[in-house]
Amino acid sequence: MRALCTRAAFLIAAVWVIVSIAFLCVYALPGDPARLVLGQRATPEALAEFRLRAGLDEPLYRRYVAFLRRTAELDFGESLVQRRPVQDLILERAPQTAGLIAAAVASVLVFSFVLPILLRLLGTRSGLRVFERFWAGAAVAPPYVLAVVVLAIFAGWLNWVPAIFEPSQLRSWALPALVLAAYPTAIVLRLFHQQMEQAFNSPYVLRARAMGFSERRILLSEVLPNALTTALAALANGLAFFVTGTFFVEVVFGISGLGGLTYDAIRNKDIALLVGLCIVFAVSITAISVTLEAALRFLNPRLREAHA
Amino acid sequence: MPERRTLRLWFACLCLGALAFLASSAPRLPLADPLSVDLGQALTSPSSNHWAGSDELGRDVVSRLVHAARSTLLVTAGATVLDILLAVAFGMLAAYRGGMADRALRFAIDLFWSVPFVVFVVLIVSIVGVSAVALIVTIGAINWVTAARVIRAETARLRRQDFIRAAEAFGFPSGAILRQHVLPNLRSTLLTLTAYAAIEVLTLETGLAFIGLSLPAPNPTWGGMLADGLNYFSSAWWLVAFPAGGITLTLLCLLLLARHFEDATHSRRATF
Repeated sequence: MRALCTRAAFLIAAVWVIVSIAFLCVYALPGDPARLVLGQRATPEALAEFRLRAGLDEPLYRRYVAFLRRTAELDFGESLVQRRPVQDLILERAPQTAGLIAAAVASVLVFSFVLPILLRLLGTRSGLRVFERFWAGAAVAPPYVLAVVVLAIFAGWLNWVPAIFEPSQLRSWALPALVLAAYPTAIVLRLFHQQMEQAFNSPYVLRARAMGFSERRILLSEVLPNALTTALAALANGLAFFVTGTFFVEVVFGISGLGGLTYDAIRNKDIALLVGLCIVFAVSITAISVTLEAALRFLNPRLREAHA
Repeated sequence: MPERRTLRLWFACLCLGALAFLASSAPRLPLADPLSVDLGQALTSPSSNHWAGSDELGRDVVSRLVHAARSTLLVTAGATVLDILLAVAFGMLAAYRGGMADRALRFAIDLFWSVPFVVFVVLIVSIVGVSAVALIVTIGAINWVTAARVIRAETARLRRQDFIRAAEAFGFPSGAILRQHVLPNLRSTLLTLTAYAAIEVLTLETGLAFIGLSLPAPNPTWGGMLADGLNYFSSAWWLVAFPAGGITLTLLCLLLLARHFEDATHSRRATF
């Protein structure tokens, strides 16, 4: 219970740090914040009005408090290019990104847990090793390289998938999800395989064998509970990777999610939108990873002490 | 027949050495001008004239790749060095001073472990504009934590050993102990961490260039070239294949190096 409170306090501190850094980026870096937010073509009247509204003539701490309040109300201002509230844009695009990440997490789970278990139940050992090598090889290339190469091969050369992303078509999602899943799969799969072998060679499995348990029962009730938690913890720690990964994968495959929105914001120097996106990305990932970590600690007592 | 381990090490060193040589002496090499536009030669496939083909403006891809390696390697090296220096400084300080310093570092590690600070690199670089210095400082500033964590743990472990305690008992100043006893013992750990840091930095730098946060055009960067190639992925495969190959080969060599040093310290880490 006390651990839970510590994690909650940590989460609040982390969110505060995130918002403060975002504030400092806009107001403390060299450059005129009004020009940054309104762009280079803004009229003097608009600049003057913004200065007044954002309170740029007020001392820094007053602005900081105002920024905190607006952020707490999820008001990130207006996008420079699209002339719409940033929060609306983000809400509109978020489902695509969430869908992509969910598909990627699902494929990580399938490839690094379900398939190895099935292979083990079938009794093949070399199959798993080949499989592990394949993912390790794919993971050497960063997601953007992998995405471009995969797109060039499957859409440009083989013509198996359409070059234009079509959200309603299920098969359009396969490549982006697999590309995004490659790196986490390589790591989680290796860890899980390692843990599984370790468990199979442990005294408690020897005991189970001596007592005449079937291999299947040993795998499911003795080995898995131990092997799963460590690998799942690694997956939870890697969540941030999915975010940076979606950036690139969305840009390459032309998926109009938050990554695509960020890309447009960078191209257009749309700082208001970029600040909103940064805060949303950072806070949501932090919240998810802190929660998952707490949940895993709850599930696996050994992790409670291991983290020093 | 040498061991596979040794062969891998030689392969990695040879490739990285060749790359460093090409990058450092690019202006003196007999290469085409990476910026000279020749629209008559636009998008030609690889031939004896252009070994790796030419891009949409008729610029030679080989020459652009080699020149791009200059800025990419400069930023990678700079940010990696900064990264490791910060990690050594903070990691040792936390392990040796303990108390507040240690608690502060632990909080920083926790924070960096869960907050994706990469998004702030994007924000800061978009605001202050892209330059080698901005990239090195921002990337170096967010990447040191993983390494600091390892260095803190290793220093704390070393400190409990007899030879350090003996040195402390003799009354040597902490600075001397750290420099003469702790640092030499961290050598293979540091090599491993440096190789991993270089991988992370290169991935990030190229990724930023890929989404448009590269050094100003027309100077080529690997990530920028890959992004340009994306527009022609169905018609000009060489614009995708060569930058992608260059990035992946460099990362592979660094990974081989990292694994090699890691085997020397008998530890394997699973990281994202």
